[in-house]
Amino acid sequence: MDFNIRMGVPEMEDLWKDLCKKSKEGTLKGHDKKLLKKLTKVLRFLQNDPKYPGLRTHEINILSKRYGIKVWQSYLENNTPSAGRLFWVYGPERKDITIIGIEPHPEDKKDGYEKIRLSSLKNIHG
Amino acid sequence: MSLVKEYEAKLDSKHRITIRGSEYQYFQVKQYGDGHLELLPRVLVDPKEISKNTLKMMDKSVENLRNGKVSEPINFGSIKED
Repeated sequence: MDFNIRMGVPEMEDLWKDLCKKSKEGTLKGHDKKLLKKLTKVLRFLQNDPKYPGLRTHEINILSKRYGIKVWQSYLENNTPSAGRLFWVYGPERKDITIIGIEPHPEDKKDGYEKIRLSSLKNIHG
Repeated sequence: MSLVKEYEAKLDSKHRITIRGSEYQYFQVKQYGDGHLELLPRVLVDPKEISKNTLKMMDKSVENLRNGKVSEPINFGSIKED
């Protein structure tokens, strides 16, 4: 089954649209070019088969408990200690996958962005 | 590092072995010439930390999801392939 891939927040959607626009214009360079390539590859796999082995998809139980909905993590690349990660959930409809987060976040600076230990998170769902 | 469990195991007819009560689901397997095996848990499976920005994004995303405010399906057709 092919899933529809949706973005959970406007800034993720804007990031995607910006990267695509630059790609179309031929102005995509460096880090952005690599990011679009990785994202496209992973999102296409998610669309066709979220459990594709190369994605190393698995549930993040602490986040699932926090939100009251199963949260999944897939890697943007393999065999890299600093591999980026995508966080996603099924829904809102049966054929949908919504991307709820990306790490590193686009606004994270190279050094010193603040991190939180997952074990310290509280549930926030009703 | 203290030993928690020690037991003998046998490969079944499909060359599988059962690992009892493991905390991890994914392992890196190293096979050595003398026959011994090492199973190393992939510690990246459950990230212990996450950036504050990413967590904030996820909080907002889930709220949007609940309020029906997620984006339209993304279109891969607009990407120029190399």
